[in-house]
Amino acid sequence: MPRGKSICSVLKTIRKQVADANGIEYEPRECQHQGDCRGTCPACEAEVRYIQQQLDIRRHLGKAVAVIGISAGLAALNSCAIDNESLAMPATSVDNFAPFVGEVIESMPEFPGGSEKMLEYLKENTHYPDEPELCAKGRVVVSFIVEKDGSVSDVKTVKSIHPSLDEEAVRVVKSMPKWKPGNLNGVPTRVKYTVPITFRLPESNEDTTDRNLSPSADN
Amino acid sequence: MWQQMDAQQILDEVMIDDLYFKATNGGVTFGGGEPLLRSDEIVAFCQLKPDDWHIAIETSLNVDIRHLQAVAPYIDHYIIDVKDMNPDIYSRYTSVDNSQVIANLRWLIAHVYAQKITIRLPHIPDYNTPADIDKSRTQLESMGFTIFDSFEYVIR
Repeated sequence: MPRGKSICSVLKTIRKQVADANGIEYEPRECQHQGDCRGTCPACEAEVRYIQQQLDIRRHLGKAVAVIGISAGLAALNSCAIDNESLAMPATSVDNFAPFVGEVIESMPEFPGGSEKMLEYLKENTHYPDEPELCAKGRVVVSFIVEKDGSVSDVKTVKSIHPSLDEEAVRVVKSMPKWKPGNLNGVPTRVKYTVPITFRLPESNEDTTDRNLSPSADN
Repeated sequence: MWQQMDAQQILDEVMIDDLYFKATNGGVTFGGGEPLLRSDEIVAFCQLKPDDWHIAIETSLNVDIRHLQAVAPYIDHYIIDVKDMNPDIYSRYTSVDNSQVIANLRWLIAHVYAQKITIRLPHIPDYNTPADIDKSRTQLESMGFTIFDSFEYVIR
């Protein structure tokens, strides 16, 4: 195996281990590039940025993230492995399919104002359903596509808790304003994205008049 | 092909690897030339970097001790190429003497845990022999060093 491919494989494993340890949806795509490479490339770096973005979201929500030492033992890399060959991007069509996050995207889509604004938006606009018998809580994970024009489509839950909470999570994601689209080779492209939305029981669970005003979702 | 960068620019350049560094308990190794001649920049970088990165340095240690003392609070591991402890062999190979190297080794072992120091003992064809390397190692062990890396120099 060329050394660049070997480095690429190790880095991919590290990304996957970090993603798995933190419940981040991530399936690294097999690189189609033939021949030597430097072990990393814009597509790999986009995957790193995606994972970091997901970790930042979790940190922002006050959740513990596991990164330090997750892949200790996989560090058999050194800078000497980097050669001087330039890296060609793998040839990939982006027009006929929705690339999944971290495939070959140079810049990830961005909510207007950034991740923090997105979290604020979700927090302000997510409401615990006003159903007296409902007492479910937890995290709904919603996936969606950010289209080339920044609109949000194909919104669906990938981790469910309760139909009513799932429905509310999907509703609020669908209501988001247009994003700045993802980018590949300077061209807007479709990108899949996921956000976790956590539902907590309103403090005044007995007082149904307050249910919609309670901090029902924290992102 | 090289580029002059300040500490912040270097940090910006390597920050994309932040996730890898943290996940592997890894970080940045300063190599050479002689990185300790850039001790001010190394200190500046270490003051800017994320806490969880580990810093290593590959050095000949043949520099003024102030450089070593400046970076010492920030270095997690030292990789020291002593060439050969025999002053004649060292001088013949490098054209300079190794008294500063030995003085710095003494300072280092007095201030840093031996486990944080790897001593490289090269076989330098036409300059030293396996017997010379053994003598260097014995001398270094008597000083308190415990980790050694013996290898072959390739002279081009």
